[in-house]
Amino acid sequence: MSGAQLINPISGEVDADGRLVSADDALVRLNERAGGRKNELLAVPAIKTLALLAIKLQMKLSRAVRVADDAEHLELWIEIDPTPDKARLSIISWRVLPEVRRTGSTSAPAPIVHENVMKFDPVGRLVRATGDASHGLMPSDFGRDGRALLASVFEGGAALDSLLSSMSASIAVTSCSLTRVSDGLVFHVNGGSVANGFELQFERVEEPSTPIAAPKESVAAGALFGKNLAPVLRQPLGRIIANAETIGSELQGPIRENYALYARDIANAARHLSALVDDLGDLEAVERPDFKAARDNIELGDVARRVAGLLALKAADHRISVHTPPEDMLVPAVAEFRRTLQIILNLVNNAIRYSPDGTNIFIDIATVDAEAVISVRDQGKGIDPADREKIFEKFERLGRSGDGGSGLGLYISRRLARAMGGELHVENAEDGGAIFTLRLPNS
Amino acid sequence: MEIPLDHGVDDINVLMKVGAEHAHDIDALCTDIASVIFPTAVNPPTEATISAVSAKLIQLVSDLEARLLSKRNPHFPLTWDILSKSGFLREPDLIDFILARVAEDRLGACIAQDKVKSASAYLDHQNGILADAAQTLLAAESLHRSGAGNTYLGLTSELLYKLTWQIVAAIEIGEGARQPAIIASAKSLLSSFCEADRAQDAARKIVHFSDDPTHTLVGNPEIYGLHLHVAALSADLELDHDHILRLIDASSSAPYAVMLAACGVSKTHALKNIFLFRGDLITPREAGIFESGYSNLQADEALTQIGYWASARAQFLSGGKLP
Repeated sequence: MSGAQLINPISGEVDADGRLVSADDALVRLNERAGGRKNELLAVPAIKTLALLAIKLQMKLSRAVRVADDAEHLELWIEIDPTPDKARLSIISWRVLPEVRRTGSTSAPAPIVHENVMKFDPVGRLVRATGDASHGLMPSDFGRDGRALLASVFEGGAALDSLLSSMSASIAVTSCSLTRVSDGLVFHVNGGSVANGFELQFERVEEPSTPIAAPKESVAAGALFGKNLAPVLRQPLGRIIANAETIGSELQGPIRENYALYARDIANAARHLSALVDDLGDLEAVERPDFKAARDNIELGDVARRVAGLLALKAADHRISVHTPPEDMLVPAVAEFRRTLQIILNLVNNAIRYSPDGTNIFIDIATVDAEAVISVRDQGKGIDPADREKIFEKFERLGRSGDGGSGLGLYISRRLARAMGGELHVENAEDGGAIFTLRLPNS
Repeated sequence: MEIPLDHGVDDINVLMKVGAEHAHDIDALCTDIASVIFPTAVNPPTEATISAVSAKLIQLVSDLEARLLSKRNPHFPLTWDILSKSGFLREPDLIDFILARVAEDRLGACIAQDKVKSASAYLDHQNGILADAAQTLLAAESLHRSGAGNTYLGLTSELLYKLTWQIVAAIEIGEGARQPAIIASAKSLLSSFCEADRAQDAARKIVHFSDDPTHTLVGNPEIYGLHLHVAALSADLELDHDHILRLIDASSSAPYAVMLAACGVSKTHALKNIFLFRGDLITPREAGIFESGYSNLQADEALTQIGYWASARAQFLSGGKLP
């Protein structure tokens, strides 16, 4: 901000009808630039509202007020002292804001060049659909959550996920290809934020991508767990965790010690179930035949350092040090960033969970045989050679229980690695710890 | 709703009264059951939150009542029953205010107070307004720490006005007559109240008058304290102070991350802040979402998104319905 506190405050008076009855020159000019005149209604709405509020409440107010001048955006500090029939204003600071930040989308509103449009309001509900984009929609679909609607109209997959993410974040969408479930037609979709909402334009690709014999069921429609059940399960689980913690921490008053322990057990068990819900959602996704990972250009040293940062507190709880590659060591890879991060987070999480306290975990990176390699090495007791393939099987826990694991993490990680054109395997280090190695393509 | 069942047999209108109470109760039952079967919040309230909100609400009404009556009812606010039946105590702006206070308590407890400079750095500032605001902030924080008795001093002018006159009306209903002395007491309270003495307003004043860039305050809550941190976010994002408190205290760290991204806070500082306020509440999954999303989030996009939050909240608080 620039500008400063005023040596002599700018004064003015507003009557109970909102008329500016007297004012110093600066306030008069501000009012005139907003289209007002002295002895007429104050034309700066933010100041008028505050003045009338002070008169109504008969209370002194002292607030920052933002107003738009013709050329500048200002933040004024105004103190208001009311009497029953008027408010005395005193502007004690007049600051010019450096830039106009809240202007909605910085880009110009996208012109409507297509007939086929879906428009959503600021909270994402469908408010308009025209042309081919309205095909198959019922009147009751208007006002529904737009993302849920799109997920039911178009086939699931990375393109739809990307579109829905962009809508959630109000980010522009460019040339996203979607296939409509009901007739198999393919559309190129573009869109972005517009005044008061989000708009998608659909351009039909003339030939269907594959011959359609009959309307087929969406692949996503089979995604029973991740899309439908997981959100339903998370809510009661969240409630169980929260309430069990409330009881366990004795916030409502002291209870018998063993009862408090039971409550903590309940909270831990529910937390385990909640993690399992997450894992099952991922499991369902990676087992879909059309599951594909994006091909981003990523750098494995960066992934390693991010994971170490995220798990630093957890490692510190066990006095475990996580060692990452030096900053100047770069190993590029082609893989989906989020999924790679998920795999390495899972591996380091496991290493922390199963390593003795006070040991070290090493994340190393290298380029080997035209492949990008990232490995996680711990100082635990290692993996028995007979179990090295077994641990990548679904729900395989190697006889362990009660440690919060679901037996799905490594299975999902390997499926993700393979979906990205890579591989995940394990071997033992010479000093006995386990080394999990993720290989990814580097071009 | 509690149904009084102690109508005496001598009361000639007993049938009418019981009939009216139960007739009203079928409507109340309808809304109560609907909210139990169809909760609208993704993360339902915990017993701890309900208990904290309830305690703060009782304390607030009790303090204000004591100020107006010049005596404290030893057990429970005298006007509680009338106010709760009138529906006023369930108005969204009041509950939102109380939830923000609950959030403030939790978030404040996350900051090690012995390391906080808070406003003390401005106490000797050459700008008298800044020094006064710092003094006010410290006094308000101290008053808050000292405990109960004057919780109404933290209300906004609008809420204090509403609650004061509701309590006056409830006292008059209870007494069955006009209460000129209490009305005078209410007028005196309102005319002497200055919202600039509240911690959040003093903090906002410091942010306005200070030449320190807001991102210094936004990036270092552990040094500047909760109020200055939130006030700086409020100045940068044009969001209400209490709205920000509630967003930071939300059950996911994502809203806070979006706010920090909108302020252009570096990822390192953002992560540090999130860990400060949320600690072990962050799951690896949530951490992964932050890690993969934060750097790609443009400040302008985040700011646009936050603009929607502000308008949705304004709509909710004024109408009481989710937009």
